[in-house]
Amino acid sequence: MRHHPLTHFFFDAFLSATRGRLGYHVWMGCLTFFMLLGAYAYQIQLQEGLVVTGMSDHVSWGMYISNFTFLVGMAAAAVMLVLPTYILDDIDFGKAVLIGEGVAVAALAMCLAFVTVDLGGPHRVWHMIPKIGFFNWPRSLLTWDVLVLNGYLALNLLIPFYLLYRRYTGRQPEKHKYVPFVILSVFWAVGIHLVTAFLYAGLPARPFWHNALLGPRFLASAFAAGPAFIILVLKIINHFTDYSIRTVIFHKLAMITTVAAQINLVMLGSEIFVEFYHPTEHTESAMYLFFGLDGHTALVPWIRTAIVLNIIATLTLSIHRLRHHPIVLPIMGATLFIAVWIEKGMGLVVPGFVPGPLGDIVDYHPSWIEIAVTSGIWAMGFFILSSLIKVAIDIESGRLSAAKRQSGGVTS
Amino acid sequence: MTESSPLRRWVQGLLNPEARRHLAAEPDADDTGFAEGAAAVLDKPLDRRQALRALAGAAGAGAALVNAACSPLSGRNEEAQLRWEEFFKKNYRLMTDSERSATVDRLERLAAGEQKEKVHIQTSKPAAGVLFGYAFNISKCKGYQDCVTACIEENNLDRKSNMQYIRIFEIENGQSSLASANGSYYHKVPADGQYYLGTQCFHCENPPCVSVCPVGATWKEEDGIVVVDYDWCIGCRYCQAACPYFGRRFNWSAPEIPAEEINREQHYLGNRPRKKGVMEKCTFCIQRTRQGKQPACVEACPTGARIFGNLLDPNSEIRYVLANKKVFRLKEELGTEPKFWYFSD
Amino acid sequence: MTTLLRLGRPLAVVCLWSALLFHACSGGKPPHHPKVSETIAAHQGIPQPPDSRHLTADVKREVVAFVNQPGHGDFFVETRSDKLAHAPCSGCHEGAVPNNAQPQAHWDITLEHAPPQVMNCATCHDPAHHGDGLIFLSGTKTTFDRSYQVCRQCHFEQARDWAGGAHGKRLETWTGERIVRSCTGCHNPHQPKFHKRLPRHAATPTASDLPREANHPDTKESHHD
Repeated sequence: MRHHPLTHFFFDAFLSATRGRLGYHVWMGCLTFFMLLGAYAYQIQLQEGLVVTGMSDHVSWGMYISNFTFLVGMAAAAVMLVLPTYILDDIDFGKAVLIGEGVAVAALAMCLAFVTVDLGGPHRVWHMIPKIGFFNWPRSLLTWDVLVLNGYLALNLLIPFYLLYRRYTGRQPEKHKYVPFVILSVFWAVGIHLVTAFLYAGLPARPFWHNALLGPRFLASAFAAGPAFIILVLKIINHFTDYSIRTVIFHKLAMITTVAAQINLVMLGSEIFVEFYHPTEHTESAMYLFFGLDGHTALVPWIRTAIVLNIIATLTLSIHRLRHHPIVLPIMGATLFIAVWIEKGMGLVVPGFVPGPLGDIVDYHPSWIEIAVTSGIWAMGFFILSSLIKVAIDIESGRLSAAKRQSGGVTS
Repeated sequence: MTESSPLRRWVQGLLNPEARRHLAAEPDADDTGFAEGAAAVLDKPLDRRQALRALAGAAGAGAALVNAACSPLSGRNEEAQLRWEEFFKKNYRLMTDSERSATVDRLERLAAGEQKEKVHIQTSKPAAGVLFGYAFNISKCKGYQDCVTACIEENNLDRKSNMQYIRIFEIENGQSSLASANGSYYHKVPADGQYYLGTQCFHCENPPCVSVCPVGATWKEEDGIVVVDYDWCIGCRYCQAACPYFGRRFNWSAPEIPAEEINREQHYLGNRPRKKGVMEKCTFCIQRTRQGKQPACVEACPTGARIFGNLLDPNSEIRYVLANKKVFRLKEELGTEPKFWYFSD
Repeated sequence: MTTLLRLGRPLAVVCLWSALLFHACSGGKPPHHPKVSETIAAHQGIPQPPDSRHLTADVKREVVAFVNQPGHGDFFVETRSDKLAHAPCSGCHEGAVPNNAQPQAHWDITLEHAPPQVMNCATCHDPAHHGDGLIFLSGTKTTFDRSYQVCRQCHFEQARDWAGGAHGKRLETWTGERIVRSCTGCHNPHQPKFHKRLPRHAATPTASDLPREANHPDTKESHHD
């Protein structure tokens, strides 16, 4: 019985993703456990309402939206690999770029999941479908975000799919077919992160967010944390698989990370100067974040940790010898990743709500439900990422191809 | 689709008599079959109304089917049918008059089933030449909070979470920043050396909450009242982040009101009981003010600190205040143009 | 690919510049937010408020007789005499009551309105002809329903605002017949100041309110006395 090669492709991809060494299965099993835990917690949240979270009328967005914001940046950062590879024909990046796009897809899936679990009425999301529902576009920035995120997800699924499928069937990808989409995705990546920043920056009600630097800072921190994360992933791949990544790729990624982290630090300094040189009532959120307000210091240890980590990582990476060091680089990458996660997650979202518009100071502490759901979604993201990378590597290394299938290389 | 397709006949064959009766009773029952719904989705340029009706009809029929199998009670059956149709209804703003009366009818029937007592849900529209405005006299307010209680009772606010639309702040004389105010005092009032300032939704002429809503579930009516369609809200809470006045409240859990305390005179956009996971807010007591009555807070105020009226009527009290008093609004620099002014004697 | 790039860049530059040029020449307007005052100015039509006559039909009222009232049509004041427990005075008092008499039946009344040099019972009540109603400073008589005219002798500013609508309470409706409460409908004329009492409602404290109370125990004490 002869099927279309596309069917074979998906079938083989599925097989590749579900088979592997013991370590792979243990890893995927752990992720599944966390996903199930998250699902259980989410079921409780659906049943009881969002009252089981730590959020309140005063701090009405918490951990979910914090992670969403951070992950949009991760998704956007894939462009840092896409741009040189596809447009400037920089072959060094060729191998890394599929991984980068895998990160983007996983990050976007997590973004959409975080937004969904944050909704009070997820079963009414169909109200957003144009024509059937009411899509408040172009007035609401949230509708822009829905558009750009889904569009970006589609782009990042399509391009790697096309490349891998050509490779699978043993043909060269045709440039005129995918390069236009690549160019589009480059602009789109900047777009998704700027639009997400505008979600916040467009609210004069929250002076902490209402500043023009927010968008550029989002980009800078994303282009620091994103490639840093990709460095980590590539290191792991390099270590655990036979798919070897050349050192020069790490050097280039480290360079991107470093420059972005430096710019991010400059912007942080600029922000701190404006807030504290002459403190106004609008400084209170920053005061709460960095020093605590009226004895409320929930975020202070976090943000100070983030800043220290940020500075250490940026300084270390700025020294050539250390940046090129095979051990120091991933450690500093992880440091930077954590620093940005704190700074752009909870460190950005929560202080926007404290003090409230009428001066109320209410601390926010995530509940175990939120933590469980959040880790479940992260596990889902890693699950998606792992399977995508597994398939991509199998195809790229030539283990998985239509030719092999015919010669009986892959059997079911 | 003039001839009934096999698929449609098959679906109809599956229906229980009650569901079939219901479909037959629909004015344009021709549109309500599942087959038509599918056809509309697949090969016609989608007429939203028809498709939704079709889907709702089909879904309702399905629910009726399941329910008929599970429970012999026809009451349950009817409830499931009503709930399905409620789920698939439109944004209130886009409904025709007949659709509005249909949903009100369903809601009243559902409420009667739940609470064993009749409620009345108005759909009264804004009157021409009316724009509501509010003035608050900070030298008259003594902080008694009679308004808060009246608001809770009138608007069926959640008793469990102690939700309140109105907040009264105690501020030291000589201060004006709300940051130094006490929003939850409980001692004998008026306290010496303090003055009192109340906040609620200010029904901005340029409301930031309305612009940000991704599904258009909140909007400003012609008479200036900013309302929420509780059945359309998806609970993203973007409006809550956008409001500079803390005017919006979220139902973090299912609201609870003792049955005997429910105010049964309701408005679709006003005080009808909300559900878990949706936004709500002050509506200037739309169920009262659209009838010519004063809002509950104004009526309850023992000191006459609250003034409500028509901004377009030059003889109204609110216009007198604007013309003769030194007024201010909160955070005027944000350009939200609240229709809520503060003044002092 | 390279040809695409070589052509694409000048093309993009041309597009960008023409877009800029077009924008610069089109004389764009600054973004404008509607103001309430503009909305009011734009709607000078005749209000068609809901019919509210049935809401005020049962309120006993009297037309307010006011000289120099600022630009208003007739409005009404809720009557008072039908709500007074002891009225009419002639029910008990037949003749004159001495000015220095003990209050006796009116034991519960203490006058906390103005210093005794300024005001005593006889400022508003006529001891000589203790009839039904009040007197002006001139000694002219008036009824309990027109107490606002008596109060106005001193509190002319409040009376002006009351007539205009910035002071006092309108009853039932915001539209239609304007019926307001009389001065004595809200203020006890003998103790016109509002009294201290506990609020009707206790708000859920937010964290920001708690430490401040704890930090200033003395202010809290003083509130409780």
